[in-house]
Amino acid sequence: MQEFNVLTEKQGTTIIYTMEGYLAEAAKMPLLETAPILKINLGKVTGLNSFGVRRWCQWVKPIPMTTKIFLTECPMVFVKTFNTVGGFLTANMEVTSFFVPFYSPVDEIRKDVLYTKGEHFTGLNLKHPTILGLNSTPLEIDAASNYFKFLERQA
Amino acid sequence: MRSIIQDFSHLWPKSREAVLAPILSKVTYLKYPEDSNLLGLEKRPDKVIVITSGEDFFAIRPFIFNGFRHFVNRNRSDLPQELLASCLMIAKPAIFVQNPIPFFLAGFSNLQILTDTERNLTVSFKKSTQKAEILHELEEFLAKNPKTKSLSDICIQSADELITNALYNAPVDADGERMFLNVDRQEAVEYPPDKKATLFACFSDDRITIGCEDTFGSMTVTEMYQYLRTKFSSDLSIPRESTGGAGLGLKMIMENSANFYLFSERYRRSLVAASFLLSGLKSNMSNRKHFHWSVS
Repeated sequence: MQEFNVLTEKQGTTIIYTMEGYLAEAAKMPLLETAPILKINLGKVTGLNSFGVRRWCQWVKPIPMTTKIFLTECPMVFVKTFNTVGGFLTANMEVTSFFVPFYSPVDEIRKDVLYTKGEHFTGLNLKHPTILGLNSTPLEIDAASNYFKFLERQA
Repeated sequence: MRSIIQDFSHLWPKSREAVLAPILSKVTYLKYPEDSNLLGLEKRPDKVIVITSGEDFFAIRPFIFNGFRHFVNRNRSDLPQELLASCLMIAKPAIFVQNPIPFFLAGFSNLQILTDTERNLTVSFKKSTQKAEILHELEEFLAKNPKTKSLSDICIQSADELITNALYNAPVDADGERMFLNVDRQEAVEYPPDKKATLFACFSDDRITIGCEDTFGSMTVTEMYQYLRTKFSSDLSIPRESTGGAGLGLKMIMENSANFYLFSERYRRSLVAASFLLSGLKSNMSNRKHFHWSVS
């Protein structure tokens, strides 16, 4: 399993955290810095377990509600947790991009497609792209019916 | 009271009738939602199967809270084998106890899969420091086949929870006290020399089953009810902030998988397993689930 790691950058008044690896009990979350805007890129997070969920909740809890947190490139395991665990997606967070799994039962291929705010979703409105499989047959969205439910909270 | 043998015996081949009839004839069932008004009247809910039809697994909460332990969704193509697994757990636990794994995987059919090393992974462990290596091994095993690879993230997450549960929650000492329940999950733990746990993964053409067996058999009926009550009382779970684990593990496994099984023989062994249909994420994470638990 890829070790969890976080890269921290400061760009003006924004702090950017780029996370990668498996978020579990051994993960060391970075020290939180005070800033009006936090951007957290989760694109390279490969998975998380229940202890990782707790780590995340404990890490975001002290962030003041006046701080705006933007989450980008949220992987499927994060999105499903937004919908099932309280305190995982807090009121001051906004998801600006997230992955949606697509699947072809014919080709047995899964493709995680990045949905970006403005292009694929605006508020609760979704604009699903056509994703083609090996034989140019369209792939189907392969997510539970409540997958997009978290969007209601940020609409 | 509805009878399994009367209403469902057509699901199995005629050639199996002689073997199955003594089992099926002992088991009754309720239909959800049709029989919702009867749920409080059942004297032995642990011996009755609830056959569901809806998409919303959480709608069966009242049945869970009233002591029912077997839930089978009638709109799934694997209804026969899941119904049989429940019937065996209820009517002939001794048969089930001998070797429950084949029933989790394939009912009475395709048992040759269990001897195919390409389709099986079995790893024994005794200490927490082995977990990362086991998960890596499982990841490689899943990557061998495109169908299992496409479910790798939910399978790894579930296996992680199964291993963690076996390492930290299952161990009890001679007095029945939990040894590592409140130990920080970053702290390394190790089983006593006479104990071990085994993680297994095995796939057929339709599903992969991942499970973990430990030799403590410490799960109690009260604990299971308490867990289910806490976790199913609300759609959103809250991680526990006290010492020990986050308390989300079993629920995460249930959410990820199409079928969930928990089987425990007091002070002998516990087996927790989940099956994932090899037809994409949606079929597993939807609420059309089978759910069985049996604790003696």
